[in-house]
Amino acid sequence: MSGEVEDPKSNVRRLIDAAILSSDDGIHFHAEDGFPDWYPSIFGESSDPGKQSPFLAGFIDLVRDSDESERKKSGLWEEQSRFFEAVAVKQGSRILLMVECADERHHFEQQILHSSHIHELNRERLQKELELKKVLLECVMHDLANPAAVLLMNLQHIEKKLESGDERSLRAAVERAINQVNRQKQLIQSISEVFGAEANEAREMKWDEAPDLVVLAGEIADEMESAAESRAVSLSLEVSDPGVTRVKADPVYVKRVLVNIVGNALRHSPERGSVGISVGRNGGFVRCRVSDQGSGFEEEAGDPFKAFNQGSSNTGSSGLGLYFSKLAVEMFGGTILAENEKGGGAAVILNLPVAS
Amino acid sequence: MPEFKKKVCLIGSFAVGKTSLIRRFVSGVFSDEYLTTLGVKVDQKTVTLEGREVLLLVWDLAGSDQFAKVQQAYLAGSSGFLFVADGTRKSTLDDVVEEAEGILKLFPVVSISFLINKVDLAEEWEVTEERISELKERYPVRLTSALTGDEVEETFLSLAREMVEVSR
Ligand SMILES: Nc1nc2c(ncn2[C@@H]2O[C@H](COP(=O)(O)OP(=O)(O)OP(=O)(O)O)[C@@H](O)[C@H]2O)c(=O)[nH]1
Ligand SMILES: [Mg+2]
Repeated sequence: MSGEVEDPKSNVRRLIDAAILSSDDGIHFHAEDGFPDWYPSIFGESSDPGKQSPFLAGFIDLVRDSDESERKKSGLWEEQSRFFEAVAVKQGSRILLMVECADERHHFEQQILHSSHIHELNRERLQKELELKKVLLECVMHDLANPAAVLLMNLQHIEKKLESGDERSLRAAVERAINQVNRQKQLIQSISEVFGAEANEAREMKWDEAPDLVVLAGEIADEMESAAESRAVSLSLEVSDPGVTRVKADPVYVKRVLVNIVGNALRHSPERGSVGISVGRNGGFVRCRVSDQGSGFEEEAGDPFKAFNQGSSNTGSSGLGLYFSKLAVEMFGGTILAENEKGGGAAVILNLPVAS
Repeated sequence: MPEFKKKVCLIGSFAVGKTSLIRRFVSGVFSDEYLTTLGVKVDQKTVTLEGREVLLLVWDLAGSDQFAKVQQAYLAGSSGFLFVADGTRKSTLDDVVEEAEGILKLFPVVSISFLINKVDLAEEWEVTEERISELKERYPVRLTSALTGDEVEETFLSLAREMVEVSR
């Protein structure tokens, strides 16, 4: 019958693989119940378990100095490539100590901690890389912008001087050079916008200045009127269904996007053509549609919103305007798409989340 | 039996090279591989100073990170601290200086040194000369490498010497 009576201590030991030690004087320990197999090879067979393990010795000291009946936990530690954890209580001069083999728990927690550290190291490295690229970009932009400005000034000076003479061909060459420099400047401006938008993706936005898309579109139409006139293109703004047309987006960015899209439409317009801007609600979004009567987006040219994807007719843009627009619009949770109209011409449709 | 027994704790952010420095000092080896330490490991090494043996108990504590600071209970009984930073990640120096200041309030009379580790990685080095000389005005500082062994032995020996002198 004796086999049926379970000794509670040996039962606990079997369940958690621990050594249970007690000490009446707080110094000499004994295991009433024998040791688990791993115990003697690691902690020895003496009555002082701290003898082989400075860590355990420190823990026992700590318990000895602790308050009565306070349960102390050692935390995980390593001995000879195995892991342990101890729990102890003090009662008077008596100490009860349980040393548990915790290999499995260590393995599990170690993996989690390790991957979180690797993650963090990668994040730090990427951030460093990004910072470096930003600095590099700033240097490149500076180097690009400076000579262009100087060249432009000189060319303008020459042009003025030439006005007295009649060297027409020379003058035409100077004009071409000026145009080229202006294009370079535009390209630099676009690059800075694009990289600015990318770098800002993580930036937190304040929504308190939710702009009205109708108002912004009106401002753009006014600002671009003279550019339209110089190409004899008519520019019109139409508000299809008035209502709330304020959007959850940074007005500076939205304006830049509109300048890009309307500028694009103007450039692709035939002479005496028309460019239409219409603004209206579209469910939870405010929609802005900019249409022109140009030759439309070319299928072969690929996605017009990809960087440097231009159609075959090089109209003097950098190929970055629409790319920037997409980045910016998506940053605010909006969408942008391009389509060709059945009767010819193209349209760009912009949807930005409405500000409630 | 060694004449002295001294406890030394290595403190510092994760992956700065605490485990590697100890392995270099105790076993003379180095590994590229990174395996985060979870829990505590105590290594022992006896050094001889002018014919007298000193047993060093070197405590490798899991690197502190944004989730966990080193448990104070582990620091009890220490005669020395080595505060370790990674010279290629300058934030680890700021973090360990802050942690050290807290610890030194609790243990004002211990021997310490700051180690700016991975000095072999010159190309990725981030800690400036000014930062180092500013720190040197307040604390002992060494530039170490667990990879090459630079200043590792020297660090432990001079700490041992200092700890023994203090205890006399
Ligand atoms: N180049 C170089 N690498 C080092 C040096 N010291 C450590 N490392 C590397 O840095 C990584 C982290 O080293 P560990 O010694 O594990 O760092 P730890 O401070 O113990 O990290 P935790 O245990 O997570 O707190 C490993 O990949 C090491 O090989 C060094 O002096 N030079
Ligand atoms: Mg480690």
